[in-house]
Amino acid sequence: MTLPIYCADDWLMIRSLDPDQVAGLAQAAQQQGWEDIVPGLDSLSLSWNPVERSLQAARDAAEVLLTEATNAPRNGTLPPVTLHICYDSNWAHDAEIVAELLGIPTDALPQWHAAQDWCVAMLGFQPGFGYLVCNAAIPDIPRLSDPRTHVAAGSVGLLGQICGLYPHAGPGGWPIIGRIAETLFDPHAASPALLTPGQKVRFERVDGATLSRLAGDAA
Amino acid sequence: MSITVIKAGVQSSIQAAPFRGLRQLAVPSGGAADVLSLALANRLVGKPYEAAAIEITLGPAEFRTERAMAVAVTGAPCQVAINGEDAEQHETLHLSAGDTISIGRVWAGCRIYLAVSAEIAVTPVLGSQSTLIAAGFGGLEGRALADGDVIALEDGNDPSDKITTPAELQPFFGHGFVLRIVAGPESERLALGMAALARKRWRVSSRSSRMGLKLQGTAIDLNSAAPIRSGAVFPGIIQCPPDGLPYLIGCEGQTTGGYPRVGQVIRADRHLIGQLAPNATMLLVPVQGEQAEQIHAEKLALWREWLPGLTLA
Repeated sequence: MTLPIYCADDWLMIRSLDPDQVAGLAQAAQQQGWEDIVPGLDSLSLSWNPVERSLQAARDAAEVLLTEATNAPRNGTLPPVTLHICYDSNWAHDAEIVAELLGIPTDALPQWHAAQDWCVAMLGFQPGFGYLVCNAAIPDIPRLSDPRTHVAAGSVGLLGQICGLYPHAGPGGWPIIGRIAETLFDPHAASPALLTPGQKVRFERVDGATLSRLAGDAA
Repeated sequence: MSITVIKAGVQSSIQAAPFRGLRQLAVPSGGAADVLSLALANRLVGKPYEAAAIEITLGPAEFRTERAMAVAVTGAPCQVAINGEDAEQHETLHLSAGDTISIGRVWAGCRIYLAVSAEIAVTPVLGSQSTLIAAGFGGLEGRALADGDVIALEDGNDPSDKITTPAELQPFFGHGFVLRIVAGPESERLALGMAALARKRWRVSSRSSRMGLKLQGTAIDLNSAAPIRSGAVFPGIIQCPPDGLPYLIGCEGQTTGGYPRVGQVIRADRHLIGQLAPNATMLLVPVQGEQAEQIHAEKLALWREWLPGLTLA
């Protein structure tokens, strides 16, 4: 049997959560003095320094969190974030494959994508990289069989049932359907990551020229 | 005042404290791959354990100082020379302006630490002077050091005395390592249980870096190799990708992953991951969480007198 709480020697993980529970528990856990609070798609991991907290105390704190916070309403929801997205074909390299998997015409993909109730489930893979989930039934979109050596910063991908946002240019295996103008991660900013788990995301469609202007692309 | 990189070698970088409390932003821990060796080096030049130093991978490497100062070399055993004259690891060395310090190829282990008494003048990013090489920020321009780089130094407290790490506290690195592990979140998928990891000798492949190490050996059987829903991974996690050969997450590894997590190197032994070079072998010894906690307390107690307040992460 899989226990609801996995425990290593300096971190533990609460399993089998839905995205709302992950965000709610992550918020409640901030009061408990963990080293790191790491949301996953269906889990929340918490780490501690064994000099400051015993394994037993950590386990107890997690159980308190689970029993007290699971049903508690979250105080104050995060303000939603609007991202300006361009679905033009020069940014949407894999729109055709994705639209076919979704069973819609390629030119209907932007409208479909922008209409979903996206929410940040977690950040992972690279600093600031966002994993977004929505309530729509999405078929399992596979990774590209031949990953790209270069994906532009701000690229928007769909993989599995997840919408992924690339903060940096680099290699990538997610099918790409557009590009956003916003900077997702800036290590020198007071708040380095634009996205926070639990936050709602709205996509606002813009044309190529607007994207370039907003993103500050070199002419 | 500065120190010049004459030869950076395989990979040298500025490393200090890890990036703490930022994993929810997908910022890896980073910092010195072997935190104990960094602390021992800084101790010899009178600086805080997590002060910025130069981490050298495998060697050889060479540096020239434009300023008189104290330095110390710890970590993997190697030859050290000042202007061609042999010098010792694990003791304070005094350099004059214009001196060259040469680090030879490691005899065992993987990473060497060169601490300097002057302050390394790189601007902290997100609270640390460490370099995240894959993410491209921190340290010197967010990258590994290159031949010809000039690292600016600020005045520091330059100790004139010479101290030596007590012989019994100098870590010994050979070609074989023993790492204690606890079960991972998906260990129940191991067809043979934790014995699948324990009763084997694993070899570090050449596909290894600060981000992680691919291990070679007999492939592991999983009841299910299906990917997991992406969730947290920490340094020392042992992932089992579809080929059945473990991938050990290093200090600069990703913060989340989708492969089954079948083991976790205990906190007390994680600094040893930084000393695993290609071809090193290791045994993974399963322990319970409470034992791991005890081992951690005992390890800190061992260094308490020489390194009071040491933190192993």
